[in-house]
Amino acid sequence: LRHLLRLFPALNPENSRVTSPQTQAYNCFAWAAGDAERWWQPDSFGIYYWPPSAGSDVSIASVEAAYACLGYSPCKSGSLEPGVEKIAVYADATGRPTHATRQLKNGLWTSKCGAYEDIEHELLALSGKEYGNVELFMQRPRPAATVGTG
Amino acid sequence: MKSSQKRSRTRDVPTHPAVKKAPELTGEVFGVPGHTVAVGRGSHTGVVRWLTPDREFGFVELERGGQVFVHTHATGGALPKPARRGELVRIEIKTSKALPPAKTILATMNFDPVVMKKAERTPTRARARGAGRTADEPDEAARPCGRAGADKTARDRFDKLAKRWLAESRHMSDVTAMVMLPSYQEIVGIGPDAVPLMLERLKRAPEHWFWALRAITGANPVPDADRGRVSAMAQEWVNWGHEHGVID
Repeated sequence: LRHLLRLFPALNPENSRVTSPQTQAYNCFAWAAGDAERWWQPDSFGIYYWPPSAGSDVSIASVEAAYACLGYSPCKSGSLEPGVEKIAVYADATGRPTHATRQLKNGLWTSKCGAYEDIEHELLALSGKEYGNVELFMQRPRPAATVGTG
Repeated sequence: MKSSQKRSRTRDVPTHPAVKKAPELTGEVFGVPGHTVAVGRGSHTGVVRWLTPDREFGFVELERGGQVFVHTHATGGALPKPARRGELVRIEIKTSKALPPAKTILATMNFDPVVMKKAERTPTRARARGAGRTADEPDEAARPCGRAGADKTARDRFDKLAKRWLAESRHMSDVTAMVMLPSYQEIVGIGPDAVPLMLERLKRAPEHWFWALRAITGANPVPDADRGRVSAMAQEWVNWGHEHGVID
């Protein structure tokens, strides 16, 4: 966790824990979507996976469209609600999406930090210089099973 | 070719009135550390070394020496159709802003079709490597690559840049931001000689060299079904390298 603590000053051993090994197999956008086998990325080269109807630009709108394909719709907050699964999308100061995280049943959030590990954390623990701040919350009825539901 | 010789060939290229009518484009220009320039504001002229098939970005070798990376990702546009490899373009640097990543400079590009014809006869470093096509050949064609066994200097430089890039980007999930880091762009700027080095790394570990490989070679051996499956993508690129004799 030490390498992540250096990057995210608000993260600490009390509000987070590592839950997987490091891997390049998937990234945060995939992990938030419940996919641990692909790297999700909008790109005009068509190199990575991205829901075809969600566009190829790196924008909040494209991320919102991608998660809408999975049944998510925008909501107001990341508060824990029974029977509801939420995701939060971070963006930098220019509005460019940098990270996505998914809420667990216990109210904490699960994130894949690039090629680093999955971590369980409090929502605000990843806010800051690297990922910016949460700019979008989305929700859907919590499915029976999602990868990493905790 | 020495930069002084290159300058002497292109310095007397006249500015044609058509340049005023040429399409303008706001894009970004990166200085590429290593072979490069402190790009200042004002007018710069250079030869297009290569462009991506979708004309989203490319490298321009400046008349004054060095090269700049030009891309339109930020604006969502594409480089104007007249811009092809081997053609001369005029880059008007209008503003310089400290956008992330550092060294990003907003620029406007003008393309002068008359100057381009002269540029077609101007040897570039890329052509000297055997990568040259005429301006009439399609950009979509796969481009030649270096071969395995790059000299130690190139390998050392690549390894140093790769190490730096992996350290800088490891926490990032947005590949388009990862590949815009100067260390990655400098690797792209190495061009065909970097291809076997990237493929050798992919044989050992699935790292994100796909964007650079796609950009440099023009190839895309990954089937749609494997998009995003990083290990499969790595293996398909390694297979491609074997099939094209790029790696052993």
